[in-house]
Amino acid sequence: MFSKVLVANRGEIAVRVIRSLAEMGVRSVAVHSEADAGALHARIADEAVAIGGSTPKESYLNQARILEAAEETGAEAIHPGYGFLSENAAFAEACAKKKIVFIGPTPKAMTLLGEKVAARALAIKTGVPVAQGSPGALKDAKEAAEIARSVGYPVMLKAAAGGGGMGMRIVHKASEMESLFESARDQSEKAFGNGALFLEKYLDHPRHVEVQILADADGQVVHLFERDCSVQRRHQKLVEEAPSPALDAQSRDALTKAAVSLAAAGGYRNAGTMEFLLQDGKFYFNEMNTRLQVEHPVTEMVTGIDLVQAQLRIAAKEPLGFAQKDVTLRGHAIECRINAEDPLRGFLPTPGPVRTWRPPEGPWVRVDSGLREGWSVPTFYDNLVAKVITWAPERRAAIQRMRHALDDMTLEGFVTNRALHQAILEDPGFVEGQVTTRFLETSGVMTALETKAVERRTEAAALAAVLAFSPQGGLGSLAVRSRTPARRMGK
Amino acid sequence: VRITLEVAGRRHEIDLARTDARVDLEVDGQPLQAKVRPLGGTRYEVTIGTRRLDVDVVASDRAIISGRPTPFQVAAFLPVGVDGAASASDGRIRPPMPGAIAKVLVAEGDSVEKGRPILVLEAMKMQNEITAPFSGVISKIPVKVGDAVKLTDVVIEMAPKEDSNGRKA
Repeated sequence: MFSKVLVANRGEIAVRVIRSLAEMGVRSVAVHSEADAGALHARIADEAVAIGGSTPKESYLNQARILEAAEETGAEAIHPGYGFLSENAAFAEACAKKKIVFIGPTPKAMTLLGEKVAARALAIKTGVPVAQGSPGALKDAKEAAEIARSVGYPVMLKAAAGGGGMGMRIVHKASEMESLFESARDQSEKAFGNGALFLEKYLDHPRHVEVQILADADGQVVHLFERDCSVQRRHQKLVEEAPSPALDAQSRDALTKAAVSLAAAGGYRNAGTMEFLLQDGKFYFNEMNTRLQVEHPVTEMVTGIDLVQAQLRIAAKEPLGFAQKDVTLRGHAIECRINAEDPLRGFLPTPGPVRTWRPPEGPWVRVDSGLREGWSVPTFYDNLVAKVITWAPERRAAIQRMRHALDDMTLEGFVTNRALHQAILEDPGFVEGQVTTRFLETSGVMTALETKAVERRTEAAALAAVLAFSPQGGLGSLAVRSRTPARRMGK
Repeated sequence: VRITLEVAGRRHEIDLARTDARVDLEVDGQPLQAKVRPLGGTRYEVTIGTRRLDVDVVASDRAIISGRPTPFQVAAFLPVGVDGAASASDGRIRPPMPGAIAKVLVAEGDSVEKGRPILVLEAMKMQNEITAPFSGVISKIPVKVGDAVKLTDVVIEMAPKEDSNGRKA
């Protein structure tokens, strides 16, 4: 095993990786930007290195500076977390050149499985079902229109290098193809420096189900069952759970076998996730993430396997220490992603100071976060600030436990999406396990949230009225005087 | 008076005026009327429409609010800003979120129509357009691309357009 590992990430995932390192007796090195100088991950690591300015480009994406930090501190390996450099094959190669172990797949496997067109081609070759569509990258809008006619509209144009919904377009009829093709290509070119597109038949009510795999250096591939991440907003997952309420033993078997065979065909090693879309009892391979996922804790909760420790053992060329038959699925786990965003204002980011932070506690409640009172959530990075995870023997009990956990959580200083999670957990469709990736649009959750907001407004009004009524009650210093509201311009 | 009141982490823009036991409010643009009855000490009963809430201001930044359907709760509150300055309608435009200025789409002296994009703000990998709250002339741009701004910072100052008689439109 390594004696020292650098964590090339920030926030909750850096904290989570550092915890596993500590448990294994491996020394940790955190890197941090200017904005993250007082961040939790930089405080809890054995060593912390300032690597540059606040923008990701100056710090967490600054390959040269991160490699320098690893050399300066004598770290033998780099854990990239998720996002940032985690799926950057050039960085994995740069690590190899410096004789530093990149905790992830080989650059070759990363490109073969992480690039969407290549992964789709490999899936077809391996006999893993994919949605009907183009065999590879599209030449032009004309070819796209020909394939769309044969598979039938609507179709989805996707960026080969895409992610997070960028460069994706739903095309409903032939007359829209040319302009949508061009706009998808332009956006993809701008965002990823690669304008290549491919096309798939559009699925209009799928579930998102993904399989966690672990593959070691000797070519042993095991799966750790699936996660269901159907509750999303704008292609960003919000609530994740394991196992999926939509699978039975037979479909679970077929899905996990497909994931394992695809990983084996790609010569993969490391933890990885095969994402599938599930619709009308059929599943289709969507893409692979060649890294640790945000939602990995739900898998850890139902299997009892620490995925970060497994990643470290694989990277150190040690055996996994268990075989497929040793991996069992026990109970049900749910995760809610707490984001600094306001669902009632179009999910506008709401970074701000952490005035009070008391994470929920209790049996089978896990919280992964990078929060610390007195610290401010920076505006430069992702808006995920905490993950609340609950486990119970059954799904309903896990939901109930999550409701209590969210009620018990105190996070003051900025608006979060907690109320949205609370509305989701009360939704009858969600409770029944009947959701698709369009859940937020098709359910009554947003309406329920707005009703709640009216209540909050009434409470604020009551409080303001009292403060106005009793200056000594708190508004006194604000010099409230009795007068008519000022007429405002533009009215 | 206009205040920004933060209750349990959420900010509300509130205009209020008091006459005896009655307080006229405008909360986030919604007009409301509250009747306040002191119950002694720091406790008050507030009636807003058909809703009745008990408010106990237990500290300078904490109140206990209860009533139906509001469950008994302790709300941390913080009066953030006072006076008309909290409003964009006075022409001193403040950002809807903290972030960095990604683009400045106007120059000082430009005439803009209501709703026209004037700035692009970036935070947490999301870009957000700020539009002109009314038709007018850009009088001052105190920020430049790359500047980090807080919720309380003025990012653009603008004056309303005047018609031929010198009246504000």
